[in-house]
Amino acid sequence: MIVEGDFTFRAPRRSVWTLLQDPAVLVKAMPGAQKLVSTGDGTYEGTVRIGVGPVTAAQWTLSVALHDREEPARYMMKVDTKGPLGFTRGSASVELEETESSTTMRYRADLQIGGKVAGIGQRLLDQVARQLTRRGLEALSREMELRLNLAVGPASASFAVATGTIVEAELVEAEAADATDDAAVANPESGDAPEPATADSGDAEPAYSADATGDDGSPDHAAHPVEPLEETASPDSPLPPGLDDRPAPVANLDSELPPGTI
Amino acid sequence: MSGRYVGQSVSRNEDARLLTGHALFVDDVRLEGMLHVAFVRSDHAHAVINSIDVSAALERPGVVAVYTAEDLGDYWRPGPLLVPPPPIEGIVFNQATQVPLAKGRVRHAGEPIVMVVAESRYIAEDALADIFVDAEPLDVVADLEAALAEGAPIIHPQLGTNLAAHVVQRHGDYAQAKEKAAVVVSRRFHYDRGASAAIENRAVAARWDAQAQEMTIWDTTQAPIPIRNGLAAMLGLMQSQVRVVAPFVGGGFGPKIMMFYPEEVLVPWAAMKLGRPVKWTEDRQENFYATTQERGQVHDAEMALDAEGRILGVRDSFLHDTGAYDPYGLTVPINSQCTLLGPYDVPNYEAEFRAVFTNRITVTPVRGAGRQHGVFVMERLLDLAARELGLSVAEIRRRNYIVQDDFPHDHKILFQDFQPLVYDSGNYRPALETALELIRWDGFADEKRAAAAEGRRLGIGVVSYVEGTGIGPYEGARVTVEPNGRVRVATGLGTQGQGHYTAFAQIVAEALDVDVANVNVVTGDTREFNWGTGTFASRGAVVAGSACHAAAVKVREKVVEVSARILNVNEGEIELCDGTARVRSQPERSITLGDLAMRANPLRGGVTPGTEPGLECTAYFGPDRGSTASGVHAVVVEVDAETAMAKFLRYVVVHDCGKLINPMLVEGQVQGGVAQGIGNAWFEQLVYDDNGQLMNASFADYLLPTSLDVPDVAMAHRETPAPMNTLGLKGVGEAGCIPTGAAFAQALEDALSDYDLEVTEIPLSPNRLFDLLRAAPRRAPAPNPAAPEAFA
Repeated sequence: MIVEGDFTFRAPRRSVWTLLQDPAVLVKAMPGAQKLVSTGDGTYEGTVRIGVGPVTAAQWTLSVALHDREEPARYMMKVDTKGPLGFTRGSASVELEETESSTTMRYRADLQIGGKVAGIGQRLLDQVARQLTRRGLEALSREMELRLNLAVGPASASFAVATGTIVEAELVEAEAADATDDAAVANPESGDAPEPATADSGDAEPAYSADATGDDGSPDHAAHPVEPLEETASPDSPLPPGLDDRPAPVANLDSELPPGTI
Repeated sequence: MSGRYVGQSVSRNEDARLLTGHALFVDDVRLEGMLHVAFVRSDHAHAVINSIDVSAALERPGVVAVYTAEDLGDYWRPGPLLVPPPPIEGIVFNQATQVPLAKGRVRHAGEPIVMVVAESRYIAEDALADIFVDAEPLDVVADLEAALAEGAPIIHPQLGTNLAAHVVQRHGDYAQAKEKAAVVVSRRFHYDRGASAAIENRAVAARWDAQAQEMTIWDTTQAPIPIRNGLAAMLGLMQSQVRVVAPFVGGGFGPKIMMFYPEEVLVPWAAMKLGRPVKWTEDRQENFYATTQERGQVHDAEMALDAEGRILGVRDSFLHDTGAYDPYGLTVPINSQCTLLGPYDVPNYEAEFRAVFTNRITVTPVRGAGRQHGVFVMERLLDLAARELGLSVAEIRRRNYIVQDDFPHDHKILFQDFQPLVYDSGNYRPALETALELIRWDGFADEKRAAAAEGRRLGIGVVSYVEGTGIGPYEGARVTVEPNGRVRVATGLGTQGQGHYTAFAQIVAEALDVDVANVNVVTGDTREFNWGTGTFASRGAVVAGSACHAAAVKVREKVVEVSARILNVNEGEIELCDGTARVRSQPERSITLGDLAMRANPLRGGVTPGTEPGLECTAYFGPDRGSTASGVHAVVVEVDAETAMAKFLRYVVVHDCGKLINPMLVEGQVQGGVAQGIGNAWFEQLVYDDNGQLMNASFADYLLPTSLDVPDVAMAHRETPAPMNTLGLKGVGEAGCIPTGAAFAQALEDALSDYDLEVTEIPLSPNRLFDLLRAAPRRAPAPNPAAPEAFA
């Protein structure tokens, strides 16, 4: 399964780089993340708890190894998750490109998904992967804004630890959560802006995608065809279920983002 | 044999129990102290197992035992090769049968690695999460051609190749025939995998009675006697110490044959080892991984014809996906190879196949068992040739049928039973004409035009098939008249819904002239009947039915003999009527069969030397060869070219299964078979990704046809009696599903005749048809006068 897309942060590239290497941030941004520990140069391990559709929530071990890092422009990573319901393995690349007032991150993950989650989560995987990715990126973006507002600024790389990027972590979970789906996936809807665009994957039943994402078997909110993504906010997710309830800094997140962001 | 009971649509003896919930299924078996089983199954399609840590599972309360391959000791060994390779010259066969638990390496997703035995299934399943399998993924063999390429990852290193078999069969000289051809058509055809999707999943329960030194195994098998024999050998017991019961089974369809599945082998072993009853019931998701599948084949086929459309020869070369193991030998590809010939006279045939190991779930026969693949290839080639020659699809078939005075017809190749492929009997053309009439072929052009005027697209298809049925080696039956007048019939094969309790009862009732409801049949219990093979290859009614007949005839002789003595008349004076034996000329002098049974088993006085007590006989039947059933399917479909949705509007089956025992049962078999065939053609497909992962292992994604998708099949029966058995029987169990894909493909092309569209693959789906339509150029003037532009 391929998960790819891009996302624009309104922040300088170096700040984004730092953000992406900070396990403390990443663990917050990963839906279902329970633990994330750096285990050495560019490697880290953790656990996430997530389920998809008919696959009940389960704990997955996650290990990520970063390599070919070219700070602050790009890095690659190997991703491996295992759980009682299957596995995910693969590699991902992340590239950061600086523009005038923002940084665009391009990501692409090529993942194999196996086991139970591959067999029965199939039709949900594509959407779930996108959903989790989007949720994670939004969380990151908020974190970034927060940092900028607090004038923390481009952090002084005190966390030299290179941990798996959020993006990957999320992808991993997503897949882990159910697995595969190559066919439809290859065409990422990275580009659609706010919610309405999420009707993207025209094929699937919104109802499914909604429960699909419920990480911890979160209650299945009645799915709206239009906004399945938000429906499924997990307990771990910083996002409340409805856009309107969002705290102020978050509320206009989408509108602030240039078109083309998730 | 004629017909007071045989040939009548007698209602089913088994239905009262089935419909009121009183039939025993394996999962109904509940025994004191019974333990339950769950399996850790491989997430990977191909991997090396480095280590397995079960320590946490063992600590979980309620877990009684956890077994890996290492824990099985000497009991761990590859399963038996169920069907050895046929004696074909030059054959290559590489054996690799499944193992009880993966040792060192897994070869398909879902292969069992660890067995957990616990006080409840809940605990057993929870314990699965406690077990850690350290597996290192290997490259996966997922494509048939790539599997045989240089440098492909090897699934069974000891073989050094992924080639499971290579077989060439031929008669005549195809190359020479082709030189004289006016038309040669050749194509590549794909036929992908499907699941049997029985209503009841597999289940095994076992109890070791240490006091009686007896093992009882309840098993959803189609072949309890071979399973009993095999398990007795594995467990180190005498066959007579092991009783296998296949009670009511909710659908067999092939995968429940004597597979010696890991679960089937392990549950009795665990029951013996732990001294407690043990049960495992497959859940639906497990079924997609743990039960064998069928279908993947790729054919490169060619047909040479003369200018009149007569077949000069056929050449076919195909790859057959046998999955990770090949325990069932070559039955499926040999069926494909032989059944391809159909009802046609093919003077030159050159047929080759390679069976290939892949990292997918093992392939064994599923209803049709490879026959549908051959039929699809042959019927499609005929359709293509008809188009080139400007013949109708019906006419090209008429010109190629084996004619009636050409039976027995020897195709001069070997069939799956290792006997020459000889058709015992048949009469094909009248079946075609009847089918054309029933589907309203002649009026169809008008119907199509009228529909087109309403913006609806209709298409029609008609295809033929032959099915080799009723193969040996043998079955047996014991018939007993009990003192209460009821008749007991016991036979060894298992029953999975076919109506054996009725069909066999009818045969016995006919011989003894007793009411069918008074004949009590038992199948599938090795304690009741000790000899036989099983229910497969459309052979139950033919082979076991013939054995029931033979046993009943012998009992009848006893009845006549004993009653003549008691009534003091010559044996020739005795007739049987409504459960009594009586004197023909003085019907008031009679004795009931029950009284006769009592008198034949005296407590005092002498039994005549040389006679046996009671009214009981056992007989066997073993045909030299199978009997050849045949038929024609015709279908009308409606297709929406915009949405690529298709509906089956009418379906006709004209079939010849020899003499009918019970037309209602035959109709049920055919209707159900067509439902399965329609599923195979348009709904069902097991989809694997490049890493050998099955991607639609649930009924949410693996679609089965519903009652709304399957029309009521209009049927006509033709009876060409089989010469190989007394009753003239042929099998019908698989007839409904064999040519369905071919009929559907032809009808689709007809409905879409203004597109340059060829259907060379099954299964199809709306998505796939949509892609084909988008890729197909529109033809300028539709060749078919009934095509839509006719109304323009």
